[in-house]
Amino acid sequence: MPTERRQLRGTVLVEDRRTERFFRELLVHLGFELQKLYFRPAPKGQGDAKAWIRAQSQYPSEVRKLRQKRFQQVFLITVMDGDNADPVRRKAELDSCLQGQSMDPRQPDERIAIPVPTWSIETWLLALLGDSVDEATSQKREFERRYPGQEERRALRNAAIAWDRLRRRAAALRWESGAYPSSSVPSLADSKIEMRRIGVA
Amino acid sequence: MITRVYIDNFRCFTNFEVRPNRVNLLIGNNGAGKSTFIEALRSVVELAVLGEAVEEEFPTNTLTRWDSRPVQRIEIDVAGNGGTYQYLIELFHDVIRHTVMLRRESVKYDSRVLFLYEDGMLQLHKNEGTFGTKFPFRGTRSFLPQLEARPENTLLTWFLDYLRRIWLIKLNPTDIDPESELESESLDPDGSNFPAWYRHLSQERPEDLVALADRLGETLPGFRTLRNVSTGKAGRKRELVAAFSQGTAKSKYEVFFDELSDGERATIILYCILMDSEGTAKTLLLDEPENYVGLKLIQPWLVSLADVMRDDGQLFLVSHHPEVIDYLAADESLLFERLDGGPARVRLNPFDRDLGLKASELVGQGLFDAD
Repeated sequence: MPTERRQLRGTVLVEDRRTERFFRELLVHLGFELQKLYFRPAPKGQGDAKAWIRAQSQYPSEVRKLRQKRFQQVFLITVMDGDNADPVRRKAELDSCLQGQSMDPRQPDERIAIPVPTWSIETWLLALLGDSVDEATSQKREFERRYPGQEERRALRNAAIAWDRLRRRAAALRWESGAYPSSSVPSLADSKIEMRRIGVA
Repeated sequence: MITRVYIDNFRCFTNFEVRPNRVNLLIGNNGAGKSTFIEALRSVVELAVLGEAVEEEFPTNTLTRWDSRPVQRIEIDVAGNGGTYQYLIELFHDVIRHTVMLRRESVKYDSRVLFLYEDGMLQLHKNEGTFGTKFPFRGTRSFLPQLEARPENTLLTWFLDYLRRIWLIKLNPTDIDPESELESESLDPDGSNFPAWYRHLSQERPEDLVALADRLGETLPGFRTLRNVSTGKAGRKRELVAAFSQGTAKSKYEVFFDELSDGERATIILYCILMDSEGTAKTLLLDEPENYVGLKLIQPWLVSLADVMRDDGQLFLVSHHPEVIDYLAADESLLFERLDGGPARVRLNPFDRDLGLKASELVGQGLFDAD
């Protein structure tokens, strides 16, 4: 499988730099080739990064490119912060922004993954690094307190390795979303199912 | 890392202050002050490290044209070595005679004076701030490059080492002579001494050259290695050649560095800068580094460089290129502006994400809040 992954070109659309760095670590760890990945983080500034992702020239535009038949070896990962909403809601928001552009919603066989961390990527990072995470509140500050400055990079790398380890265990024991280990946050389990869409079984 | 820069009465900067982060994208219209900002930093380094004359680095025509004050001032705060350094230079210009002298120069560490030049007298203090020695000095140059490293001035020499690792790069790969006679520890801003710098890298970090060749092999089709070869000329002269392989048989061929395209040369230099930065914390002032480089090659290089700089270094990157702007706008963006041709000012992260446009589109269309 990693050999096949090396052939794939992918775009990663994210809300912020830390999410981009985590998914970069994860994809490279999973065998994707950095040179074939293209990252599109939202700019830092005023306004809602989720609104930026949903805007016509971001998610719909990327989906339109992916649906061009000549781009078969292409995938799209769009990471939206869940905040305190269910991942299903964020995915529905992305579907409706496609429909707003007179496009079909995401289809089951399309290589479009939409991982949605609860609150933000820091919730997953702390969970993957072994913390018991309170999903009721944002973990952003806690992560920054625990992994300041130069420690962040190593934390991201270790979290990517832990994500893969969880994936392998789940595959070995045939866990499904609802039967993930209790220490794992539900949105993290959902991300495994999302990543199957781009060939990470 | 540089935590604050203050510039007053230097070209388009009047009472200008900026507090940068680790990775800084400098954007703005032509003439807004981006390149002037990094030129100001470069001039400070040349004065304090290379020992260039004040007149060379800060000639009278660098005074702000609409400002009649004869005094220029630059302050740089640096967080490092467990504290905060404050470096200040104050220059007095005689606008009639077109001369300039240092009026004041000081280095402080956590508010303790380590070095002070004022009114023709120079004072050196010990690490703990106690007075060391005092003697007259003429302010046509900085004394700092002459400072001898001693146990009692390690704080000050740390700061000078830090300044030495501030590099300005504004590549011009068009005229690079592949021949070098000696090694060079640093790369000239235009990259013209690259063969000599590569000789230095080959000597100092041979273990890293394999990884460098691998990276370049992924970037430039067929690329295998880069090496300095003796061409039979007298002395220590070497010429830089790049080896490639081609076809299914992977037959190897070599070309002299000046036979490569401008884009290939620029790409090789940029990856060498990346490799060098991975080993030694640097402050890079990059002025449009993506010029000459193929569109597809920009992001992989930038991704790696920004990672290195976030961990252990600092990056100031001037660019008008959409690829660079769209990727780095997720870090800190410094928008340089000049209203009605007046002084430069800077705005941090000026993007309105609710507009749903790429950062490069917002820059291209000038869609920033009027404030």
